[in-house]
Amino acid sequence: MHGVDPEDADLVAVQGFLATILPALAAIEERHGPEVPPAGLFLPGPEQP
Amino acid sequence: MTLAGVAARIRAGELSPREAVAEALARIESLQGTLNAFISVRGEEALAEADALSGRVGRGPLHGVPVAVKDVIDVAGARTTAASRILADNVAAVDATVVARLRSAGAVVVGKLNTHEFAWGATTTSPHFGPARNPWDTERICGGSSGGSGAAVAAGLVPGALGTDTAGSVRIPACLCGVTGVRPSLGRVPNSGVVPVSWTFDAVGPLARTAEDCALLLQAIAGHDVADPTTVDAPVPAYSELLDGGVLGLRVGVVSHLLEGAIDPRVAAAVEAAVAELSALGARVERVDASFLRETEVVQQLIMLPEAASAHLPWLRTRLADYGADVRARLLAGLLLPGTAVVTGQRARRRLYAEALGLLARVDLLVAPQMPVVAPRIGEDTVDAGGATLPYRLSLIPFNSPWSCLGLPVASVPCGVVDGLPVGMAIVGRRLDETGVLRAAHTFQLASDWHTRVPPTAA
Repeated sequence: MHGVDPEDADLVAVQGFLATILPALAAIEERHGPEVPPAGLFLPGPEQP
Repeated sequence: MTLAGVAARIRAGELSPREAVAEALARIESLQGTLNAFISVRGEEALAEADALSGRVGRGPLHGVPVAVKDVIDVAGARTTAASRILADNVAAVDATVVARLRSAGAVVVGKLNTHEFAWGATTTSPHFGPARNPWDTERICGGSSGGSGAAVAAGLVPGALGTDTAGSVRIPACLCGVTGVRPSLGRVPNSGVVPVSWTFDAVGPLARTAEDCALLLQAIAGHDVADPTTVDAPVPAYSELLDGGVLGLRVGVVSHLLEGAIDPRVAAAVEAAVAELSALGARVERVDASFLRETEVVQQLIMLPEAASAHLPWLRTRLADYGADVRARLLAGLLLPGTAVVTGQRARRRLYAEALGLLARVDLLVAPQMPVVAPRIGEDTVDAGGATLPYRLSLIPFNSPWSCLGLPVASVPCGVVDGLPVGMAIVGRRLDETGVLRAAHTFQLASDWHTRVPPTAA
């Protein structure tokens, strides 16, 4: 972090986020086969989110 | 007075642009100490701009109308702080596209509105600029992140404002402050000149007293922008001219899972009553199973957290200690998610959007509660929702992420009062169908008076 150390409280907060999100990510990964490509980011149109 | 009313009085010569702007500045001065809705006020500049408009006839539909913008939106010569220490002295060189378009329509920007730090949070309690306070009860939050926008419109400091919405940040303060707010479809309104949270989801939107007012503001700011590759090159309908027509025969799907579970039952009852009103107005209302939308709650986080971390990377390397604790934690979490998170999130998003298209082929609009609770007290981290006590920041995600994640247009309209505090209903449309959303909201407001209620602070 280029000389800036996160305080312990920051790490606890981050751990809280990740403890929720990472298991949910794993579950979503399992539900999607390779046939599902990502949505576009800069290719907006009525057919895309 | 409504924005449309102010514009009409100016057109009729009953009110000059200078008088309109001076009145707004006087109200801001009298209530700023109570509400802290503004971060900066352009007093002299706004009066000079109003004077320049005086004597001219009809520069645009917003000729001489005072408005304000959230302090993540650039106004040339003014600070854009994003309610942060990091950008505290950041002066914009040029107008954001939406500000330039407001000016082209004749509006006068009177100031920059308070926000959650870097527009990333739903309380508008910046540790650097202080909390914006809810005009209905100044001990309570006004939501966020566009909290200053909601407070300023509710208290009548300005008749209209712009906010930004990544995961609810226009709709939440609109709901908790009892005004109307519109998150437009992704790509409908340019983000150039706006401090980003997450490029995939960011949307600038209007807050005002009525859907008619929001239509006027949206009309001014919508449309393709060569400076913003995320904007859609599609015609912008004449929203204000398309408000009439009612909801007779319109198929309206009520998102049933959002009316059950973690929601204050009194809030749910108010929304049910509003749905009954739409039915009485001729809409064909049916409850729909849209529980697949729950996945958007995580999917949006998977994409938003790393995108925000990417946007903030230079400051994360050099200014970490200058962030407020909540925003710092989210940004660090974004740094630590694996690279597959964004890609997996975007893949899930494509499938979810396809499912939503199927649902929106069966109904014309969706309606749901905008929020599960009324405005919490400042400093209150948890809320009671349907018998469950849960963190406020988590309680709102199921009600907001679905529409952000899928890029759909959504309006929050006042539809009730609980404990003396406003309740809102979300009206969601098909992609780029802001017209349908605004028409339904306008029709509801013609038949109800929740949007006309004035908070005690403004009385």
